[in-house]
This record gives sequence, C-alpha cells and structure tokens, in this order.
Amino acid sequence: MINPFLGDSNEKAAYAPPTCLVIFGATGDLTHRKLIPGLVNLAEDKYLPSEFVVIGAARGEHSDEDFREILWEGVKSHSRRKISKEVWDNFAKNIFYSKLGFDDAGHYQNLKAKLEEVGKARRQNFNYLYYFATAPKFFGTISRNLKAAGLVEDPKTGVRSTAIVVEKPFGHDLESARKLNLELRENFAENQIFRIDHYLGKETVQNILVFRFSNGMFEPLWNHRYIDHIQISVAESVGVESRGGYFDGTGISRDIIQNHVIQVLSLLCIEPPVNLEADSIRDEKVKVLKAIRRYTKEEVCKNTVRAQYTRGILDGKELAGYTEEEGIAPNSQTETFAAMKFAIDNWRWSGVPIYVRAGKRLPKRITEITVYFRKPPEALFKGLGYQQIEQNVLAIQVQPKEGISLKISSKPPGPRMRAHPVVMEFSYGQSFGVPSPEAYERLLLDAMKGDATLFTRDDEIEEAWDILKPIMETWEGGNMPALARYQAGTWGPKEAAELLRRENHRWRRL
Amino acid sequence: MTATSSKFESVELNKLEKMLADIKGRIGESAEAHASFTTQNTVVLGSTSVNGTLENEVVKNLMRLNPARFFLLEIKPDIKDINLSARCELVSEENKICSEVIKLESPEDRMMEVASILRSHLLTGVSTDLFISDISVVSEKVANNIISLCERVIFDGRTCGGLSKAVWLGRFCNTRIDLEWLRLAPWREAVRMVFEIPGIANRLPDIETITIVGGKESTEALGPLYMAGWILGCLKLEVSARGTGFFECRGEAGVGVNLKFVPGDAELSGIAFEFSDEKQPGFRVDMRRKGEILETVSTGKFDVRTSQPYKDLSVIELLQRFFLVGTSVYKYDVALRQAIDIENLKQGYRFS
Repeated sequence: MINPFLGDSNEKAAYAPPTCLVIFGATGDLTHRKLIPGLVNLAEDKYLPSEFVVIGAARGEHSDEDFREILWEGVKSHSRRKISKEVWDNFAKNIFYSKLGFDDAGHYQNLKAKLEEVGKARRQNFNYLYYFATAPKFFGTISRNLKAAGLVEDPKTGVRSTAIVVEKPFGHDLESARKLNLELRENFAENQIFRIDHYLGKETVQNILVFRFSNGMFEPLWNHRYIDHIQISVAESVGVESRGGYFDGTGISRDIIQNHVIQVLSLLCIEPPVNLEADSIRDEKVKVLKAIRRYTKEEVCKNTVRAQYTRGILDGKELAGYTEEEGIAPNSQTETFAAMKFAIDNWRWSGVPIYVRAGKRLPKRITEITVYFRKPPEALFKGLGYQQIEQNVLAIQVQPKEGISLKISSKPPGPRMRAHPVVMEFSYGQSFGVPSPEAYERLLLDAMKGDATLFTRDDEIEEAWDILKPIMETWEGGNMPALARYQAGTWGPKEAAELLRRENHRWRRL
Repeated sequence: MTATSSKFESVELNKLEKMLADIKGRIGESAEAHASFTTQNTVVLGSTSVNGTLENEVVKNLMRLNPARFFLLEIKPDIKDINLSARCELVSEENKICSEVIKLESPEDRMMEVASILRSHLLTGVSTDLFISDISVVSEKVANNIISLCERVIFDGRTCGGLSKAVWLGRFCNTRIDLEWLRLAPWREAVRMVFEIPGIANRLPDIETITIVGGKESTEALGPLYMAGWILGCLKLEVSARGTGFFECRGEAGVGVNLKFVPGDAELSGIAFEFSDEKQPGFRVDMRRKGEILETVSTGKFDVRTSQPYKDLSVIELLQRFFLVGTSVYKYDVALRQAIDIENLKQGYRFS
C-alpha cells in the first residue's frame, strides 16, 4: 500500500529514516574515495538520518578503530570540503567493521548479530541498506547469503525496509546483464534494487527534467521541428591510469556510453512523465530506449567510429600510446574513443540525429550535452554580405563546471547591421550560494529514502545493452569498421569528424 | 584588501540605487564585478521595540543561505518621517554574490508612501517574501499596503494570534507559511516513517481512532489542529460531525475514523493511531515526545520502537530550514482548511 503521508516531497527530501548502511567491499577504493566522504558531507549538511550506522564488511581483519582510521585517511584526501577531526570523530562513532568472506555463510550470521546488536543499543528499528561496492561477480553470492541469513525482508509485509545498491558495470553485454538481473531478483524484489549510475546524481543531469518541464519556453521547441541535432560528449583527459587490465577488457563504449551517455540521452529525450514518481520517469526513459534504432551491420559501419589513442602531447607533456600503457596487450583492439550517431524512431525525434562521443586522452575533461536548434530562414539577411546566421545552441555542461548556456545572435553596437553570436550563461556556482553536492551524496541519500528516481531499472539496463549489442557484435566479430587511431591530446580521429560532416554538422569545440 | 560589508548609511530616496551600487563597488574589487545574482526580495516587517534585533538577525542569518535584496521595515510610533538607510554585504567573494539591506523606519500612517518605495525598489522579475516578526504592528492599513505587495507571507502562528490570524493574513496574500507548521515537520516525518514499514502501511484502511495529544485546552493550540488537519488531508478524510469527546471523520468511501484531542503538557506531545481489532487485537502506533526525543512505538503486531531527536528550533532556525528545504504550501493549505473545519465544528461558528 502506498504511504499516503509521503506527499510532501520537499519535506521528504530533508529526511531519511534511521538506516544501517552495510558496505560490502568496505576496504576498497570506492568506499574511500566516494562513499565515506559523501556520507560525512551529508552528515555535515545535516541530511543524514538522525540515527545512522555504517557497517563495513570485507575479508580483511580489522578492529572498528583500525577501520575508522583507514577511512579517515580517505576523507582527508577525497572530501569535497575540509572535514575537521572533531566532525569526523563524531561521525566515526557510527562506523563499525565486520569481517566477512562473501561466500562464508557463518560470517553473515555474525553480520546479522551485529545489526541486531546495534539496533538494540540504539533503540532503533533500522532499515538495512546493503551497498555492493564489489566486483559484479560477487553480487549473486552476497545477495543469496543475505537472504539465507534472514537479512532480507519482504517488501510488502516486512518490519523494515531492506534494499541493495549495486555499482556498474552491470553486465558486459545483454546476456550477462539479464543473468545478473535474474540472480539479484531471486533474492530481492525489483523495488529493492538500486542500480547506481553516478551521472544521474549530478545536479545538471537532474536539472534536465526541471529545465525541460518547468520552462514553458523550451518544451514546445523540444522536438524535430525545432531541434536540428543533439550532441553528447564525454571527454576525459586521463588515460587508463591503474585500470588498464579492467579497461582493456571493457572499452569506452561499455564503460561510458552504455550507461552514462545512454542514461543522459534517455532523460533528455523523454516524453513528459505523468508525475515525478520513480517509475513514471523510468517508464518514459524505457520508451525512449526502445525507440532508439537498432542497427544492422551495414548501419553500424556507417554510423559508428571506434578508435584508439597513440602517442601524443597533452598540456605540454608527452604521453604514451594506449598499447604502451601498463596492463594493455600490445595488439589490443579495445576502443578508447567511440563516436556514434543514434536515431530515435518516434514522433518527437524523427529525423533528429543524436551524436554521442566518449574518449580518453582527449584535450580536456568535459561532459556536455549540446542541443542545436534549426536556423531561422535566412531570407531577410541574405545578400547583405555578412556571415551566415549561426544556430542557437543550448549547452548543458555536466562537468567540470555545472551550468547551462544559450547561444543567440545579437546585433553588435555600431552603424552596420550585423549578427554576432553572444552567450547567455547560467552557472550553478554563480546563481546559487550553496555549493553542489557530490553525485554520490544525493544518490546515497535517495537510496536511504527508497527513492529510485535516479537509479536505473532492470529494463533500462537491458534496453541499453540491446542498443549496443549489434554495435559490439559488429565491432568484435567482423572487425568493422576498422579501429581508427588518434593522437593523445587531440579530439579524436578524423573519422569521427567525418561522421558529422556527411550531414553538414560538426562536433562542438569543447 | 577590500571590506566585505558596510554599515548602514542614511540616504535620500532618489540616491538609493546609486548608493547601493557605490557600496557594492567599495566592498569588492569593482562595482562591475558585483552584478547582483540575488534571486529574490525579502521584506522583514516588525518593530525594534518588541523584538530587539530579531530583524537584523534574520538578515544576518539568511543572507548567505538565500541572497536577496532585504528590506527591513520597522513601524515606529514615535517618529514622523520615513528614515531610509542601506548597506551591502558580500556574501560570497568567490562567486560575487552581494546581499543588499535597505532599512525603512516609518510611522504607521505613512504606509502608502512606504509601499510606493517598495514598489520602486523591489528587484525586478523576482519574487518577494515577507516575514512578519511582530504581528502587533500589522494593522489593516499595514497589511493592505505591504503584505499585498508580496508573493508569500511568513509568520509564526504560535506568537501571531493562532488560527484566526492565519485566516486573516490569507485575505492579503494567497501563500502563507506558518513557522508553527514548520515546527511540526519532525512529527510529520515520524508519521511518514512509521507508515513506511510495509506491515504497518497495510493496516491503513483499518485505522479507527486518531488521537492528538497537546495543548492545555484541547483544540485551542495551533499545533494539534494543524497536525490533525494534515493527517486527515493525507488520508482524504474530512470532519463531518462532532460527538462527545471526538470528531467523526469520513472519506469518499464513507469510511469513518474518530479524531480525538487530548490535552497534553506541550504544544504537541503525542499522536496515536488505533486500528480495528479484527485482524490483530490491540494493534496501535504511538508517538510521544519525551524531552528532546520523539519516540514511536507500535504494539500488537510488530514490537517496533524507534526514536529521533526532537529539538525546539528558534525562529531563525525555522526560517533557515524553510529557505533550505521548503515546505508544501498546498499541504499546509489543506491542513489549515481542515483545522478551520474542526474549529468551526467545535465553536459552532465559521471563521471564513
């Protein structure tokens, strides 16, 4: 039954119920860099539940004190703001450690005892949120053991809410994603599974919905009549860093496009949902994903580009080529750059190309969604001897700076009738006094509250893999199109530019 | 090195905007850099004679959180002229955000002139909030001239005359925010949370009695009335009749729930939900405030006991919370309407 008292979404945003967060893989990088710093910042902003406990679960042997000390180092290095020792000590009182081999049933009984002990000591009926900060191969084992230990409640009749948060990669392809979904659903209901895609926690991405549906001036233009094309770019200046082994078996398409880019795309292109409930929004996203055209092999060759970086110079520094990086096979065919042209076969987006690109070792780190509007008829200005009128461009910058800019044409001062592009900008930093939280902060808080809006549902994941399936099969099967090369520190191969040039478009200079 | 704030300086009306621009220039690197990024106007209405420096505290505490052009409007019976002064404060050097504070001291009989000054100097294109820190200065004349300029009026029903004043303010401004309503947020949260437990949520249709404990004289206190109004609104119930010691409430499906008010030792000290005995005898959920703890206990089905801190927030803290988190005006209006219905049934007359 739906809780009738949940109606006031603003007040709901302020609180989460008493929660015990159990992190599996608690000594790993994600816990240190993102989860614990995010939680401390939530505590500092007073968003955490009044009663909140973290239990770290991992294979190693640690006392609570040791574990807290390890986490403190992570907070000092990775928190978005400086956290004083006093604040940390106060927060760290709520952190405990439980040794746990993922496949050791006895350890789950210990965990259960610890959870009950903490609940009793604090006189709380804690909700249990299990965060799987582990490799996906452990998801099934952990969820099975949690269920066997009696740590999973029935979502309809239980005495508390129990849910899991799982990290990407969510599958390697459509089949493995389906298998993983089935494995999780054997032990948890779909509404107890929160699949995290941290891009959805970014303020600018969340703002897409607000921007589209709360501004009367944009939504009427948001269709094939007024939009010429859309670009989504995710550029990274870094190479594979220490993830060489992982990345070489994955590639940029699976690492970035299948999840972050397709999620952003679906949010950008959805029809107005009936309300802001999680499933209403996700239903609409799935409709977009279903409408994205699945390519034949020929279409894959025509509409996609894959490339790998070679030696080059970035910011004055000479950089190694991809196959010279540690952990990369010298004959690797893994793409570090991908560009694709998508088509959405529905009424709204018919004929509007959507170009996406993602790459490593590009000149700068930037993620931007760019909407190019159709030009007005030029008849009025034709023949007056000045440059072409430029398109209106709406750019939504996701990172590093969060904000929106709109390029319009304006007459410069002076006697000549000219049109010159000018930019109207909205920047989060300059318009709101309150700094933006890290994506993980928002997502952790939402998971505690049981709000799944910013998490991906099983069918979204499967549709996203289904879109990529013919592309990956063509790339990996027939070795077509050929793997192009680009120098590190450039904006990708010439083939990527050619992909747009064919239709008189060009990538936005970022 | 530049200063980041200025003291109030008297100014003639026709020089106000220029003076503010000059001050902005003085406290920053250049006047040009301090384009105003404020997103609203905030008018604080009160009198220093009653509230001391509350108005200044409001500005001091809100300007960082909610940069605005602030108008401090003090009604002073002992002066004849309107005194005007202003100051600026750079609330974020990095982002060049500046809050401006314009102080207006005026006798009550010059409200039309004050309103004209506000109309001329309210920032264009952004909304205006009015916070009433002292309701005693808000006469019909003040309300007609000043409140009607604003999109939202914020007041504290606990000290501002209760339900009747809330209704009265609605004559001048459609959107009312009562700090007493905000004070009840932890209670609303406790109710929400207990009905998040799936096994308890399933029993919602079986609620028989809702008891609100608080206020020394039963329904006179605003908190219990708002709380009852909110619960009825969420459950889509309306009070339909008054019985002995209870109100009968009915929903669209004709389901009846009894609402009781029991005097307590605080403004609001407890809420209880009792369920029909057919499925689980003695099943009930109790929420009680015990000092600085709000405790929820369910018995008869699950033995659930949970608690959360409960702190009496100051007016400033409530305002900060409002500007940070907000509240649902729609839900408040529904609760207010329900509260009025309850009071009407009790008193045998109509407020509105």
